[in-house]
Amino acid sequence: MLHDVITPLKKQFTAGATTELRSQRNLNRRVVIQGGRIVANTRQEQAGVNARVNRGGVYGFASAANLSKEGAQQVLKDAARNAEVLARHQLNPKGAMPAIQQGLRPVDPDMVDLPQQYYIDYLKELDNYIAKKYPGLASRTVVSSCDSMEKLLVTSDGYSAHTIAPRGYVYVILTQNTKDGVPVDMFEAFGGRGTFDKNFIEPSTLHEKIDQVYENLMKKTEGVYAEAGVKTVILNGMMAGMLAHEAVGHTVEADLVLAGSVAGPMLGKQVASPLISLTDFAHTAFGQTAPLPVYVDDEGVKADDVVLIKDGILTGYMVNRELGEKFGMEPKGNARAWAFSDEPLIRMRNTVILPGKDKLEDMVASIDDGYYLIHSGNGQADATGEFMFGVTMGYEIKNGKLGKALLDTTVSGVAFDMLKSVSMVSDKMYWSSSGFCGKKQPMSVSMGGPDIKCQITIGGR
Amino acid sequence: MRTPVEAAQYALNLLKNEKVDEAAISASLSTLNELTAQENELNLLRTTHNTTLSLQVIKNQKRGTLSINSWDDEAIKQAVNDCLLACASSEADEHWALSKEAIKRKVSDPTPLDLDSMINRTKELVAQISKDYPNVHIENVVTVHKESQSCYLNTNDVRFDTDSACYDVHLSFLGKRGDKTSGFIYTGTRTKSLDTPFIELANFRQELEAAQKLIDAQPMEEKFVGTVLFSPMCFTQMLYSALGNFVSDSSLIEGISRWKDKLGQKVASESLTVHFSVSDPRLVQKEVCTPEGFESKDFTLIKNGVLNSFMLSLYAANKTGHQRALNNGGGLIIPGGDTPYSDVIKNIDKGILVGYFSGGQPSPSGEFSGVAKNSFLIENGEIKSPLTETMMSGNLIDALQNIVAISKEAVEDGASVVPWIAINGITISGK
Repeated sequence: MLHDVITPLKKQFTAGATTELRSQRNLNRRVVIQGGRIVANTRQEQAGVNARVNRGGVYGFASAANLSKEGAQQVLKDAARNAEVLARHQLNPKGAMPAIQQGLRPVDPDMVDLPQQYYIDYLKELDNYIAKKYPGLASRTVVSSCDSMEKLLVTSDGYSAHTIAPRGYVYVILTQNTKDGVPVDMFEAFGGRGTFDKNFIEPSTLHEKIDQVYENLMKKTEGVYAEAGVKTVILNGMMAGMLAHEAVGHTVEADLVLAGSVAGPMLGKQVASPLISLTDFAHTAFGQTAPLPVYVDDEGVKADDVVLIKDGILTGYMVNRELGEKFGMEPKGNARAWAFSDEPLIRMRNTVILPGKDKLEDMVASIDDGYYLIHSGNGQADATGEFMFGVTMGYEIKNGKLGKALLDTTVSGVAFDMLKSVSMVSDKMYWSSSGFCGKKQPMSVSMGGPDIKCQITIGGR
Repeated sequence: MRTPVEAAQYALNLLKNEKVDEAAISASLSTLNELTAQENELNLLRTTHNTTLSLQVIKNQKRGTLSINSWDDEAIKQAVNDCLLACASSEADEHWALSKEAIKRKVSDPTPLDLDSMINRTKELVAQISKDYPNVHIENVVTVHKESQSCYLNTNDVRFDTDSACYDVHLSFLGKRGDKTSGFIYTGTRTKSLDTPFIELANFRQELEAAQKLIDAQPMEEKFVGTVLFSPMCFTQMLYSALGNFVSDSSLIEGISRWKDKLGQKVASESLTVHFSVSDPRLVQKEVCTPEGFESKDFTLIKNGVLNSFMLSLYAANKTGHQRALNNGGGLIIPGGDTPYSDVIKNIDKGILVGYFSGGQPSPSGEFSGVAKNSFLIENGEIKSPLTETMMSGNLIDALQNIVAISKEAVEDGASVVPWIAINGITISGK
């Protein structure tokens, strides 16, 4: 656990400036077994201290790979100097930031840093299971991964906190050839918040899930290309989560609103079907701890939920302290930094479309000719809300019933147009927390949602 | 404070005492100064200092890797111990190896930080965009000066010392008029010098101009098989997807590459040659050595359409019996063709010009499908209306065989030199 050398330095913060001083440690452990061979076996750690100083509306930031008191004093000095340098070039100096709630978030329980043997043994057993049960696969890869972020934060006027956030996953990628000899693959992630040993004790508990991955892969080898065009589809909750994050979430991050995103002129307006509500949860969702909880952000703001869309109406943006002031919105803990050398950026946390009342089987039965799209490989969106998701698993729907599996395809659309076409929302909630969001820095985020029936453009061939 | 060679040597000596088969250490010391302008005003000046130490250990044919960012004695001792434990936990594989070609080489390519000029060039860029492109809205301009000293050592008398620095300029912006916007455009370049105004670097002006036109993008209603003219950035994206699926370590070790038996055979149009260079003078900050400790050298992946090499590490080369790549993916250089850009467009009857591809990661089959971002319709040899919500799909294997033109002009961004490339037979579908 990080030794606290920074709290006593609060008295050295520059008067009249807003200051954050943060020491941080990121750990990553990873093993990859491909075709029975260990091809990656690595441990990474980076740690250091940083300071950010805001004077008159400009920021100075400095960091060093040095967790000592002297290192912290130096970055405080350098950050203040950088803010001064920029202030000389500033045309319109601003006043002090509005006050935020002060407090202390006590230290989270320390985490266990497992030996590499644990990851390897677990993975070898899993790989042996796949190799023995499915010897005819063209390729198999299993990955064990654990990343954790420990932060100790002291601020001039907000919350101080000491947080420890580990997450552990197993990834499985299976490949098989179609009858024409063309390789197709299937990917699945298991795991979530907590250290690897908490999430993965006995490899046999994953056997059934791996059998399902194999079964889906076999269906895909017999798969068909989707027919290109605008289709009625059901997006599985994992894909709805991708939509919540990529296509809507990013457009309502205040820095992107400021940059000209489509959400700028839409506040208070209907942007989706009244069946759609969308929230960025801070730490608790539906009465339970969210997959990746954030209690205090890296500006010292106590975290709370941000309601982004309520019954189809755009109700808010995610802001940091600076842009909260600009947009007249209260910051709720979205300013997050990935590494000790990173400044906080506006980031999502646990972003989901809220479940509705429909049953998935009724939704499928309601479609004569369409698709049920289950897994997404990746997704992107831009300021216009135009999005694209790779679809790696899906089925035809013919006359109200699931049909053949699909080969890889892509769906696309414009979020606020597509969300207006939503006509049914299931009562089941799906979460995904294994991914990273990329926006200058990586960031661990979770996303989720129910199944939604909508109109969408599918790539096909 | 230790120097990189002292940190690397200290770690290597500890490992030698542990009687490892082979080991390699890489240590680097870096300082980054980064300036961000947001909403046309300077907003953040960020200075970061970092040290890194990366260890690769092979003992009893088992391999472990580890990286930390501390050079303290205790931290290095702990890292060596942890790396040996990780290594011992692994499984023996005779194919792990490091370079045995003893060498001692020093590369010095410094560019001292001129912070005042960096600030002034950044302010000038923001002001020039506002003046020359009034309908461009800047998300941010980020300019970076990064300098690093590093040392690579391995147990086979391999030593590389490097000392280098350069500036990077990143731009993200969109076209905006009233409530109408284009999509975001992200671009950037790398340079050693601040002599030239940033706006004149790479193809910044062309992309700023495109952003203004893309404000009026409209969906296209038809679907057709036509020609896609890939921008240099977009072709680079597609090429790297192809390389990941067809010539990389994992695809060849696993035997799922569709090019696994194609060495010496034609995999692309004869007009396409693909070099990975570490010596081209148009590149900034060239690769010096591979992770195994070989001196990086130029290699040609595809020559006149023929697959000349795979892109394999030493491990994958030992595993598959093929040659290792002569560098670790250095600078991408695609020689331009004979046709001026304007004539490439004139020769296209029907197709689209694409800025970048927003699509699912192509599968090992090479199938791709995604949104043609920042695209324009081309009809009868002319660039027509800007497009939105337009998709393109096809297969990377076929696409490389169907190249019909490569422009004479190329974009040089300090990390690559790539021309515009036109490819036939791609399915283009509108709304």
